[in-house]
Amino acid sequence: MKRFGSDKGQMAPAADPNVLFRQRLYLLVIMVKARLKGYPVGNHRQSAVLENAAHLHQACNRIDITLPNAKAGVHLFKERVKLLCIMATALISDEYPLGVYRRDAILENIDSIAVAAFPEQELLLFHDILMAA
Amino acid sequence: MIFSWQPDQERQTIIKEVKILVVDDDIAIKNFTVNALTYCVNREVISFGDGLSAWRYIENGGQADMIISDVDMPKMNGFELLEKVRKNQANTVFILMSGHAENEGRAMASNADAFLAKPFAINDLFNIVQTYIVS
Repeated sequence: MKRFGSDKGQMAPAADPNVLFRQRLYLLVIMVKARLKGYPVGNHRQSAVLENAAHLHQACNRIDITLPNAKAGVHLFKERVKLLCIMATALISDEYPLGVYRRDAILENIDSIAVAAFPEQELLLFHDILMAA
Repeated sequence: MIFSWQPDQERQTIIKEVKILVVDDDIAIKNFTVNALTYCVNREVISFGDGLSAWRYIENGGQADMIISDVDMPKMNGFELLEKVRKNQANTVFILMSGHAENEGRAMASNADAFLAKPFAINDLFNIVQTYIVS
């Protein structure tokens, strides 16, 4: 039997809103990075991105967020997450132009969010999975 | 944060029209898992809030290539669902998830394909898809 998930000593049955928020944020970062790298989208992926972005945008106002590295402050972090949600929604809809400045702004926003929320975590893009059209 | 790629591999494909079921009475975890897996496989992912609803779906001819089910649920728990699914669809990949460490041994004894310990991360879900769905 294979094993995935947290180590035995860290297991917990209930969902911690902060942990779930950071996992959803991590997923949104993958979604945006994958889109910028040109991986295929499709209807299901488009819906998943829009749903995740909407969820996170609402959660910013609902959850008392704690961060591993909150040097710039939680308020600014929340505003950056909301901005990323808007960026992701625009990016996935394909209705708005994406120039070099917008691309750089998205990447810079992701970097700032990552420093605050995932300072030690390596972002993996699973190529074979993201290629699924 | 470092952005990196998986090592270069021969391109592989997701099982065509793969059917994944997520079963959990914790709505936040269920919705998050469905959202992430939908994005991963780029297909619809079906979800249920208890084991009995999932079993009714299977019993009525619903197919599943993979089921990710919580253990502790009302009406029918994950172990009972696993036992019924094994008799009906032997080839379905069945993954039990739980936040209780004592359920891991029971999952192994129940012949589950994998155990997903809560809380889990996005990369765990990607690893599961990579292991069981990418062919």
